[in-house]
Amino acid sequence: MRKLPLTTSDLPRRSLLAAALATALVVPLTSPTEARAEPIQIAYLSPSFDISDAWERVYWSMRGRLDELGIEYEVQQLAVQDATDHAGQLAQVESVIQRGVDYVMLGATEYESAIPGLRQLKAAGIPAVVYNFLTPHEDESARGLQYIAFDHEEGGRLAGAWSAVKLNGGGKVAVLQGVPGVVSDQRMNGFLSVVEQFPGIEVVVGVHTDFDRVKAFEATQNLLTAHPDLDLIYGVSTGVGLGAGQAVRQAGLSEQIYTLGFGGTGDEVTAMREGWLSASPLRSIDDSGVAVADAFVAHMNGEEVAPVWSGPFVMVDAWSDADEIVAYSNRYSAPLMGR
Amino acid sequence: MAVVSEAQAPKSIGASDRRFRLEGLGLTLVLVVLILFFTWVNPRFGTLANLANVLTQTSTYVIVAMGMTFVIAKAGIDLSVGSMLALSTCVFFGLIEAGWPWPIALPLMFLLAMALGAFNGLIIAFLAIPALIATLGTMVAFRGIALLHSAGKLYYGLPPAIVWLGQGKVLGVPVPIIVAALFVAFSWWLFNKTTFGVHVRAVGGNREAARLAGINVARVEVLVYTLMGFAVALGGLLWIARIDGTQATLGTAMEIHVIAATIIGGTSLFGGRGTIYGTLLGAILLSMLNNALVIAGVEFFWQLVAIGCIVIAAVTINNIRENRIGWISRIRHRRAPAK
Repeated sequence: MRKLPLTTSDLPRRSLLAAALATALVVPLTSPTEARAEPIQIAYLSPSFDISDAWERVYWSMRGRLDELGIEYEVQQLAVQDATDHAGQLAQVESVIQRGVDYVMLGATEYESAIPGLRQLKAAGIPAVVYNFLTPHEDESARGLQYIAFDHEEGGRLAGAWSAVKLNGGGKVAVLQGVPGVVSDQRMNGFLSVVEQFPGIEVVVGVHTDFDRVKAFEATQNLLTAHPDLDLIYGVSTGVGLGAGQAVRQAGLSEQIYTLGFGGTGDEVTAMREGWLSASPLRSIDDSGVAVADAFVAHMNGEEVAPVWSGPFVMVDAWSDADEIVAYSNRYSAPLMGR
Repeated sequence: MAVVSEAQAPKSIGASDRRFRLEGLGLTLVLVVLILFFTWVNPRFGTLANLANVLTQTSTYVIVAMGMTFVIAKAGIDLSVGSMLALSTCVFFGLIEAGWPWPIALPLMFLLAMALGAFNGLIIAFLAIPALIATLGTMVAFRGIALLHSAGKLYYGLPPAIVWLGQGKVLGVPVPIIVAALFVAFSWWLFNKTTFGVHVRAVGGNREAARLAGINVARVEVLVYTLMGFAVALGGLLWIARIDGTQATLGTAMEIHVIAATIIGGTSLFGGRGTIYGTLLGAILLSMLNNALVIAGVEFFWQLVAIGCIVIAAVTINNIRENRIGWISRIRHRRAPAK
C-alpha cells in the first residue's frame, strides 16, 4: 500500500501550493479543539440542576484559587437533573472522558453509584477529586485522587448540641431529610446522636425532601399540621432549612419554633439576619474549593496528595455576629460572584 | 401469535413502518448532519469508542421507548415507567440481598414489572380511567411502594453475571447495545409483522371501529401495558447493571425522556400510527445531544437551551420532509406542475 506523504517536503511543489491555499481557506473553519492551547481542562460535575449557593461557591473558589496560583485552565460545569440521576451522571463522566479533560471535580450523586464512573476515569488516567464524601473507596481501581468534604456527622452533632441547649434538654423536634443516601443520613444521624441523649426531647423523623426548598416548605406545613406542638425543626441542608424557615414564618411561628439549616451559606446567614432561620452549622465553604484547586495543582506538580481533606464547622445563629466568619468563608467566591 | 402480511391487514386501521417506508428518513438526515457537525467541532465525538458510548447510554431509553411506542400507537400513555423501574429493580436487589440466587430473582423482577404493567392495562380497560390519569396515579403509588420497600436505601453490589450485562462486551461491542438491538428487532417484528401489531394500531386509530371489527380491545389494552412492563424490566436491568446499584428514586422523570423520544420519532400522540425505526432515532438523538454538547465544551445551561432548540428543529425538518405540515404541504401542492 502506498504511504501517504508525511511531511511537506514529500509533496510536489504544486501540491504544496494547493495545500497552502486550502489551508488558508480551511483554517477559519477548523475545529476549536485543534486550536486549543495549553490550559488544563477541568470538568466540574455537580449532582443537581439546583446549583445551590454551596456548589456555586465551591466552583468559584476553585477558580479563584487557580487564578491566584496563575494556572491556565478551562472549566466546564455540568450537572444532572437531581441527586438521584446516577445514570445521568455516569453518562456525563463518560462524555468528559471522551472529551479528554485533564481533571474532574466529581460532586457525586451518591457514594456507591459513583464507582463505575470513577473506575472509568481511573482507567482513562484522569485524576478525580470526589466532593462531599470523606471515605476513599475501598476498590483501588475506583479510588479518587482526593476526597473533600466537611464531616456531615460532625455538623449534625453541632446542630444537635445547639438544639439541646436551646431547648434546655426538653421539647419536640422534627428532622427533615434530604435525598435518601449517605449525606442526608449522616447529617441526620449526627443530630440524633446528640438529641436522643436527652430523654426530655421527643423526635419526629420527617420525610425526604430531595434537598428541595419547595418540598421542604410543603413538608414543614404538613409537619405543623400534624405536630402543632413542635419546638424545633432541623433541615439537613441549606435548601431544606430555608424551606422550613419560610413555612414557619408564613405560619407566624418564627418566635415559637426554632429552625435550623445546614452549611451556614450566605442565604442562611441572610435569613438569620431577617429573623426567619435560627441557626446553622457553618462550614468555611471556600476552603473546600481551594482544596479542590490545590489537589489538582499538587498532582500537576507531581507532589503527594492527601487522600482526604476535611474542613471544620462553626455554629452560627441569629444572635451571633457572623459577618466576619462569613467574609472569611466566602473570601474567594464572593468577589467573583458579587455576593 | 399469528403472523399476517401487511397486505392482509385492513388499510384503514393504523400505520406502521412498512406503510411509511420513508418515515424517519428526515430524522436520519438530521442525525447524520449532527454527527458530522459535532465531529467537526471535536473529532473525538466521531470516534467509534464515543459512538459506542452514546449507544450504550441510550440503550435503556431505546428499550423502554419501544414499549412506549406500542402504548402511544394504541392511543395510550404511560407515566409510571420510571416508578415501575425503581420498584422492580429495588425488589430484585432486595431478593439478591436476602440471599436469593439471581437466576430466580431475575425472572421474578420481570414478572413483577409485567404484573405492574398489566395492572395499568386492567384499570384502564375495565375501570375506564383515562391512561394519563391511571398511570399518573400508579406513578405515585409505585414510587411510594418502592420507598416503603427500600426505606430510602441505596442498593449496591450485583452479582458479576448481572453487572456484565451493563458493563461487559462481546467482540468489542458493549452488551447493552446488543440487548437493545435485539429488542428493537423483536419490537419491529411485533409491531409490523403480527396480528397483535395490527390490532394495536387499529385500537389506537379508532377504538370503536376496532371493537366493531371484532378486536378484543380490552385484551389488546392489557397486553400492550404488560409489554411496557417487560420493556421497563429489561431496560431497568441494563441500567442497574451499568451503575451497579439502584434506589427507590431511580428513574425519576424518565417518562419525559421516553415519551419525547417516541414522539420525536414520529409516533402520533393521538394513536393509530407509529414507527419503531423513528423511535430508535428519537432516543439516539436525545442521548447523542447530551453527549455531543459535553464533548463540544458547551456551557451546561446553554446545553439545555441547545437541546430544546435542536429537538424542535429536528422534528420540524422531519415534518417538512415527510409533508406533515399542512400549510407547507398546500404550498408544495400548488407549485407542483400539473400532469
